[in-house]
Amino acid sequence: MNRGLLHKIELLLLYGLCCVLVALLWAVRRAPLTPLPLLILDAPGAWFALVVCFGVAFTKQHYQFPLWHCLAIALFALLAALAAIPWIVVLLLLASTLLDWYTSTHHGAQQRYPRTVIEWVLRYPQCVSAIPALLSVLILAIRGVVRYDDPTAGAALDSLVFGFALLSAVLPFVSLLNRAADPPSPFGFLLRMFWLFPLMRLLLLSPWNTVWSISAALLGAGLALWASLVSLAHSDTYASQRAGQNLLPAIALTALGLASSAGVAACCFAILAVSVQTQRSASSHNAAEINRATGANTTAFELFPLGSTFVAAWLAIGAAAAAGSPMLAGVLWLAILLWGVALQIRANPLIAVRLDLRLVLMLAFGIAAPQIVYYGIQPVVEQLQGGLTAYGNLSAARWIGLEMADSASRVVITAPILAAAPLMAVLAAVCVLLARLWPKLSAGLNLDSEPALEQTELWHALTQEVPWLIQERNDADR
Amino acid sequence: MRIAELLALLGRSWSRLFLYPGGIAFLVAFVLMRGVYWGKPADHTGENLPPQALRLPFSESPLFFVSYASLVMLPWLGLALMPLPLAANIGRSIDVVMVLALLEWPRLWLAAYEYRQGRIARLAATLNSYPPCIAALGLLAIPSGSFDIRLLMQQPTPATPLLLSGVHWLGACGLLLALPALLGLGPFACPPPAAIVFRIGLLLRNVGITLLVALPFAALIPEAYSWLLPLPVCGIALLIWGMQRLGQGRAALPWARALLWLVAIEIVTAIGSAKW
Repeated sequence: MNRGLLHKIELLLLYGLCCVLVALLWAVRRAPLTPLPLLILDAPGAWFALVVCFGVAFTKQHYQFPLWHCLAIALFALLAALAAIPWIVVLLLLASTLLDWYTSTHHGAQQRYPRTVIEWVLRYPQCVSAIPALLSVLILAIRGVVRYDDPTAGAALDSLVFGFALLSAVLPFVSLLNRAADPPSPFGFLLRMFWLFPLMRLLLLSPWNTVWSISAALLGAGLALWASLVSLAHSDTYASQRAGQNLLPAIALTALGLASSAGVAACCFAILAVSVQTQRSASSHNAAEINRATGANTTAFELFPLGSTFVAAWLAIGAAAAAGSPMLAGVLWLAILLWGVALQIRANPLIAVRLDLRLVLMLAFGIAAPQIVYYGIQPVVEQLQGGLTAYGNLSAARWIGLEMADSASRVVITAPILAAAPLMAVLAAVCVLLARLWPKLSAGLNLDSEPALEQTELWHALTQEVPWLIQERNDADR
Repeated sequence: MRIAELLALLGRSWSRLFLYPGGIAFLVAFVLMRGVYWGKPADHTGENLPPQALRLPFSESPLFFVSYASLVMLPWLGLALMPLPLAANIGRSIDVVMVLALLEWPRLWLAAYEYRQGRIARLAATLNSYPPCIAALGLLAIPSGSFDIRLLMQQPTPATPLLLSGVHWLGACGLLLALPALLGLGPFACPPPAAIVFRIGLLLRNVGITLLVALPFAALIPEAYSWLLPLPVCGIALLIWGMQRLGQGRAALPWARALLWLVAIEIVTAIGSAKW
């Protein structure tokens, strides 16, 4: 049979799987189902599986991958999300990650094998994540926890189990230390987010200790700020974008660490935002090609105030503030603003701006966030309620917007996101009218201008003006 | 929650968009754009182009037009959604994180655009302004426990502990001190952009930021004396003029260092107030 047709069938199957998972999410919105002893069909699992399947399908349609590999990666991830036994979850996640690694080294964008163990760890940190995750579930198994929904499982959860699970979620961020310009594996960032899943599953066992919450949230916020600073300081466009892609996973970790309804909702929305971000990680080496194909035209809109990426960050900021920590919220806020600067200075938004599906989905997910939260994420929060604290509640006014309240029911953040979309359309119409009546409005932009100086020289000049900005390291060692 | 509430909100928001504050701010931006506010632009590209040489944004592509229009419409929307005194009630508030994102959009684009053309002044001012601005807003959020603008800018009640009142006013003053970097004034002065669309967007943003900074001080005026509400805005306008005169032509680095010290003080205050 024609190979192209088989690829299309695979894509169709992936999107079909997404539809089945949407139906599953709807079916389990009230209570989890256990049709087989090995499975636990609940809202958190269905949400993670849906997002990963959608991300894989969305990434696949832009790039050519070997036949059936994407479907296998998605199926492994799906089974991991719905498995009831902890060690099976970790092994399936590992299988999915290894298949992704195999695909990238044998058929994908990777051009050479890692030579040393450190290089291997830096390039495929999500594979190494399996080690602490396996240790975590091994300790649970030794203590007699066979299934996540075991009524006595809460007694087995202690700092050691949590610490290893947290380590497995944090390990993927060591790729920030990797200054080589190799592109990561095709679904790297998506599967990296998936290592948050074993951590989220621990909320099913029992509420978290305050120290665990604080350590996870602080680690996440620190990583977010680090990712944005690295992204800002990198001279190489692709490496800068790749460092910036760690920001949303770090924000998701912070939000999950807060262990509140608002935090879990922000985490779930962040992984959805990553799913429409993923395709940029599957680019090739050529910087000009990256800019043309993926970067320049839509990067400028990455942090559009009503887009999914910004809404995810906004929810995490709100969750941190609702947990009574405006300074943690401030760190996340600063990280997102600095990343916005990094994105804008690397993009060239006024040249070759064109509409693409990623941009449309980003805007659609952002504007429809109240509906997504109401129908998709609220069931996840409700089913994890037993392990959540009261420090941060989310309320979705389906037709207006979102708001978060603290434990005293005081509104912490609020925005009429959905209502702002028609208002923006009205203002866009006014701008069309103004531009027609007053053609000079578009005067003065030198559209085809080239940068006057080299990036490194400009950056050096900038560090002289901004005292806290780090001097860029010499990239010659790359 | 029904769709009727959305329709009611849209129906009530027209005056916010086109009269007060949106319409008035646009008029102010239009008047200031004629050169009253700033001097001559740094680059004169496109200033005296014949009409046929001008590129209409919507002649390129829909997204190209959106990218142009967003420079004006996002700060306009941010201004219109701000719960200012005497503005029409649309039944919903908005928080400062979203408002700042909407207002910052044109400056972010312009700073990046100028950076790519080899001018760093605006990007330096942008980067210098974020830490003090966020630290000050974080301080303001400590007593109120909220980023919702209505709650954030409220005057502390007599029942509020003295330390928390102090935190509130330190936050409000921190915002005032960050104004030169936020607006690109005095030592952080940046030449105005030549492109009119950038100029209008940036001025709308500056009006929005000025109003945001004025809000904690406007909260001091009792409701019965609402005719005094322009007073804080006029006071801040005077302060802006003074800062512009004082800092014009001076090096930005010492001011940037002073702002970093301010951030350090604000962080220490925030940590110190945690036990309260």
